[in-house]
Amino acid sequence: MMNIDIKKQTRVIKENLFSSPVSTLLTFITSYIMISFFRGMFGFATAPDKDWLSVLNNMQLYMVQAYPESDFIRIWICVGLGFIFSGLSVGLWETEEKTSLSKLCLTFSKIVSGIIFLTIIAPTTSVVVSTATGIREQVDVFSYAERIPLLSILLGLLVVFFLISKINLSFNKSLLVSIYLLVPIILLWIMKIPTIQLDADNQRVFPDPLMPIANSTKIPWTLIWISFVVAYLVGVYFKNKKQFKNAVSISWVLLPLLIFSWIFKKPLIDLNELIRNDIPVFIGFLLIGVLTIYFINNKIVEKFYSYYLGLLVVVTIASLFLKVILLVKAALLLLLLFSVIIPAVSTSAKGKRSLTIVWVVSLTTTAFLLEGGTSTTQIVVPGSSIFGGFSLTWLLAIFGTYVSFPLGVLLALGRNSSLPIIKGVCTGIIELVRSVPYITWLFFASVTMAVFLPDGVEFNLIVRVLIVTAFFSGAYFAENIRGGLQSIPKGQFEAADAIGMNTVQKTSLIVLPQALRAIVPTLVSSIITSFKDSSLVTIIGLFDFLTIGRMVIGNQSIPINFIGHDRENLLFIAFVYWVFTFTLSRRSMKFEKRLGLGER
Amino acid sequence: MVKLLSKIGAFFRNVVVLKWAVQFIFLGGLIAIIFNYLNIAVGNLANTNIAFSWGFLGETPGVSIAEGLYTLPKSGLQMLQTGMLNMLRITVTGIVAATFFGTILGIARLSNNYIVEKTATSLLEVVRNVPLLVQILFFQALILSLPRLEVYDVGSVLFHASSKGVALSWPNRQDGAWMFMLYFLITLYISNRVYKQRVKLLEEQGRETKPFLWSLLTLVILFAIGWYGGYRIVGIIGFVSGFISQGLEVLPGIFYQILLSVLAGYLSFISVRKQINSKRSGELQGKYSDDDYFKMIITIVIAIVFIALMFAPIGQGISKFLVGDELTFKSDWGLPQFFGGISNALDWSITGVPYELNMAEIEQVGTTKFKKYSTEVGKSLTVGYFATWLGVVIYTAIFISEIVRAGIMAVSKGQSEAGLSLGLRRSSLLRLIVLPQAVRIMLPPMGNQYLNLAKNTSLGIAVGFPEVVAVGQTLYNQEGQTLPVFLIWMIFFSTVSLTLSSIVNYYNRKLKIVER
Amino acid sequence: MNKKAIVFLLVFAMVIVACGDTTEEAAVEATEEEHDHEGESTLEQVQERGFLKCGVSTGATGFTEVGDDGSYSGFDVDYCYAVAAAIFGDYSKVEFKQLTSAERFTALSAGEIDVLIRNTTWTQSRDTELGNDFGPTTYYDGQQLMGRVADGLSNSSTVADIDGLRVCTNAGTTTEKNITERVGLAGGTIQLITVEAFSEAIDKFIAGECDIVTTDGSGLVGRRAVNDALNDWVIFPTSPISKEPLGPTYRSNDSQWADIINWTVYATIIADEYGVTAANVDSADLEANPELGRLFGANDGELQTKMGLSADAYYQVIKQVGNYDEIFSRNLNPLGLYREGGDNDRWADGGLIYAPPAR
Repeated sequence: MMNIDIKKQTRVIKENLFSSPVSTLLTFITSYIMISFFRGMFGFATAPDKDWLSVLNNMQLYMVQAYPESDFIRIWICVGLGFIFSGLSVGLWETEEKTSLSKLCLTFSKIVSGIIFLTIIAPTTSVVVSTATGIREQVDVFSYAERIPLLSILLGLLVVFFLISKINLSFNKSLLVSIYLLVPIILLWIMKIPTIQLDADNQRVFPDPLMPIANSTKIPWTLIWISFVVAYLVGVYFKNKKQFKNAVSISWVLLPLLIFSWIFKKPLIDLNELIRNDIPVFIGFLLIGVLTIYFINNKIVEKFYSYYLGLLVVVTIASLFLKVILLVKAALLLLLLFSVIIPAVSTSAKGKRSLTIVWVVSLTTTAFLLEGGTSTTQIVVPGSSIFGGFSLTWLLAIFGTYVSFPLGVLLALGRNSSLPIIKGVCTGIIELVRSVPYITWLFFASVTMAVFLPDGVEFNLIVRVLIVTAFFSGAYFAENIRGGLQSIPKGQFEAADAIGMNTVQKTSLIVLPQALRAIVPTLVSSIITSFKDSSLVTIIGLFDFLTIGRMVIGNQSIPINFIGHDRENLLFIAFVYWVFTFTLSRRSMKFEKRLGLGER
Repeated sequence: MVKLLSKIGAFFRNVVVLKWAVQFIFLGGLIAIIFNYLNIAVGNLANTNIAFSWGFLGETPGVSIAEGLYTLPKSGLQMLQTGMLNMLRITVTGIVAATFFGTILGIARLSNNYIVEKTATSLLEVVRNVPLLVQILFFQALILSLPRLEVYDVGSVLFHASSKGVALSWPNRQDGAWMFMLYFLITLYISNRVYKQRVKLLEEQGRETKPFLWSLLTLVILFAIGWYGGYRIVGIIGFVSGFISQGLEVLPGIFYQILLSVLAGYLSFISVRKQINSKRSGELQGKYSDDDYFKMIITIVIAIVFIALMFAPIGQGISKFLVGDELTFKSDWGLPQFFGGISNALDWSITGVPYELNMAEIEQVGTTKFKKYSTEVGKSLTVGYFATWLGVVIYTAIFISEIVRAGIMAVSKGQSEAGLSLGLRRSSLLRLIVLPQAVRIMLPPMGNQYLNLAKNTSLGIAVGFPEVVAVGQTLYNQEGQTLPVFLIWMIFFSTVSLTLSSIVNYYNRKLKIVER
Repeated sequence: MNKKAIVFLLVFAMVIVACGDTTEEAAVEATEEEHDHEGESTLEQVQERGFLKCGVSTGATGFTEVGDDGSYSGFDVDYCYAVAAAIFGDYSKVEFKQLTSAERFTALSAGEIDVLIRNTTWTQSRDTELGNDFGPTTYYDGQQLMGRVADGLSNSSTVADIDGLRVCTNAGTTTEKNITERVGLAGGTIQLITVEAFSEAIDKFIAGECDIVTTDGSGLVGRRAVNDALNDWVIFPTSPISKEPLGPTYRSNDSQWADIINWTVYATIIADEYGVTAANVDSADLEANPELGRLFGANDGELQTKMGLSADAYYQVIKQVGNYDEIFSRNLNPLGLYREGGDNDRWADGGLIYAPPAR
């Protein structure tokens, strides 16, 4: 049996690698390139002149810049929520039910053999360029004597996996995943990392002592990981509940809003104001909405519909220019949107019920988020903005997408409109914005925009960057949406005309749902693009993730000197960006496949 | 009375009236908003004592630039020109390189060879998921970790890399290069004509006419003649344009005003005539919709505004608001210089081969211990240029590889099977059957990637490469004129984008015609 | 059925009225918040806001640094703290805005910051054309160049010696111009590479991309003290190629605000002259030194209250931030920058740091 296997393997290898002379040559060339690349990277990372503690020691700065330590619990909650929803999603959309021990061992053996291969080919020396003479010097980094213990352990593992793979056993994948997920917790508690210590004269102690991870890091992460695992299991349990899946999808959209408006910022809420203004307004609008839904198709009220709509339009537009609390403006806009589509939808009892649910939920969320979002921050950050480092990067990425999405829809509709002036203006905006690189728009935000703002009105640079980003990615979105709009067959418009829909109803009920359906896949990739593009704000001096590694750490001299360690930080930054974008794109690809959205 | 009211009601319920009312309200609102903000801007600028002006374009900025046309610019304009040329340098070479590497990578991703395919895929996953800026900074760090140039000996080298950049052997341009380039374009055109002629013969007479061989022969012979001095024939063009230039110089400024006005009038006339002609016959005869009238009116209005800008005092007022200066037309305004430049470049008396292949050279700087790469022979690339170039090329190549892969996969499998059954080799199959069909699918998204590449060159600012954005920033740091610099960026990038997309569209259309 | 329609409209109208009610109140509050800044002095705005907005650099070792917990430190940062201590009696009431050299003046004139303390050179054009005023110079600097001894450079090298070399500098507004001008006068040319941050310029210099690096002398000395392991770097020419007096900048036409900033700087200098530090300020003999008494508000502090500050404003500055010498040595001594014998020494010791008397 073993013999046949080997024969088959050789055949597969021959077919895949050495099928022709050219293929053989290519195999050798690419292998050589890959191996030298690995050796180069390994040599770089392990060279003694690299100080990786410049990364580790500044982790807090990287993540939240100057966020006060007393309020760190808020950050942990944010991260925890992110993890819980990730766990739920992974559980809900998991497909593979069962897995067997032999299959598992095969995977592990592959990984271990890979590590063994890499350990063997790793270089023994690393090159250090002397700063004084510019001459390269060879330095020993990872001698063969050091490798032997590691190699023997790995080989032992390989044997163990081989033996275990003979046992025929299969079990649920969820169990396996939960075991995987518990590994980091164990590592957290037993691992020791080099830590910077200062002696009495504020001088750094060399070599850096190995210390266990600080409790302030260890405990929150343990809790977060546990809740992640629990969420995963819950997700697996509710796998077949469609409502649950929908709720999780919607929560993903609302989560960043909740995090940025309530948790991260710790809004200051005036109870008095709340009772006097917000709650009556909220209840009033709730009532109007419900009444509209239930009575608009009533024969007598129907006659007044056009007057009602006209009144609503006038009030809404007027409210935009009046000094009204924001909730009134938002609720009026929402009501207007609803009132337009209500007559077409609330024809049956079921339609009325679901519309009511949507109305209540959307109004509540709007009110809730507005309340948190409009309050000025309560977190006191000594000296700078509460957003900095990784949190700023995410703020730019997510809010860039959020704000640009509706703008993109409007621009796309305008460009597709039959009215020449509106079409021309929208086309002009889209093309103008797209033809110029993002960085010039960022310069516009940083130095030019202030000129256009009236006296007394001032925007934070972050807000200005968000405005510019909204326009920039909005224009790109608009082009995507336009593609979706053009794919709608003409017959649908004619059908809508035939049943007497007006333009707004046609757009909101027929055109947009279909166009947006085609857009959803690009939504995640747009967040990814925004995430990557947000790194450009370093050029205008915002303190995002990249700036911290590139400009701030390289400048630190008090109390510990990290001057000249930019390269380590750059590599770390590249790695973090890669991990996030790669995972996101992989996950989104999986979801798309599952939802069948990418295919038309 | 009632009748009148109902008539007014009917008027306002008329679709056409509503449509235009809404649009004009929209336009009015937009213009009002724009004017409001312009007003604020003017006020704010007055407060900070920086009046909007283009004067800085003529003043000496007093800073030097690392590389490019003018390293010590005499005026803001020269400085910006240097940045623009640097940007175009990366864009043009980058597009060629990215297309080349992208195609190779795309094919590699479809390869049967396991290692090749996996390597290409992992390269894709790494490059696509890391911000371009980080990659450019990374490439810079990579070059900076090379040894200093000072440790090497002076002399000629085939290829050299150090922390001062990269040097390559290169065919260096000689005096006749520009003339030769023009000559070569003409040669290409002629050999293309020969090819078509032979194909026509083949179709008409049915005998083997070897069109490819013939055109290649023409090309080689003409190239050889040109290389050893034959290119001087284009000096005729220079001679003629020298005459034109002299003739134009004596013309007064009013001539240009009239010329441009006539041109504007003519263009609007053509466009209106086209509108009318499109409905002159057939079903739609004479049925002009309100949109058609609108388009015609707008064309005429634009032409009138343009002409007014040329002559009328109100036009001068507008130009003073927009440009900060009245439009003045002088005879040294462009055209004579343009033709004069051509006549200087295409000089009959230039001799010698157009290009000379040189090795790169490491030189001593004066009598110091410092060394540098020669800028005279070979090609030396600075760190900033190299990092930016490599960054944008690899990043774009990855996206192009995806497009190539998708394009090839979109060609139906039956096509390749048919080719294989005819006994074609894999390489010929790809070259003759798959790629020509795939290109048609690939071209539009490819054009988008080219545009992205052009825009991404602006990241050179992070590694000290003086492209147009970096140079513009230095300029407004000196002069405080942010708004004009921003407008120049906008116009420049729009021009580049429009040019690129019209080139891509041209080929797109051409390929489509071939299809039918 | 008709009734229902009427009820419906009634409810609608009621809610609208209710909205209108809240509207007016909110409107009054909103206008108060947004529009009353006009005509207010900078001091009133700052006091109303509760903290000072101070524009600093995006990163200059010794002058503006961000620590591993996100906190700020440095020479410029300490002067921001000093101004806050003078206004609020609490040094921590500052919000820092990191500004690039391109946006700093726009940010100041747009009111994004109250004061700019970001190694900004006092020049005629900036003082007169841009609508700014400059406070007293806190640090006398000058542009210099740095190269390696191994490359044949020495203390006595001049600008003429760098003809044909590649020079790196950070994007500022004066550094690029100065070096171009001086090399041009010496009859040479250079290849000037401009990067955003000085740390990048130093990286390029260490790697060897640039032969020479140039910026303000303080930056060069600081980097040499930290990075030059082999004692190979040399700074030249001995007398700087330009004068770079660095100090706080504020909007023109607000003399009260200008006085507050100026006298905060002077207070630190006067305290230094008397040897009063944060540690011994409580035991300072105010009776024997009436000038100190006036400055620290011992004698009613009328001078301070007339400025719109509390009487002990400058006492708080010294108590919480320290005197000039403390600020200087705390931030710049670790970088190898010392006052002794330089331009930034006390005037009595031959330096240029001088304050008018507090009377």
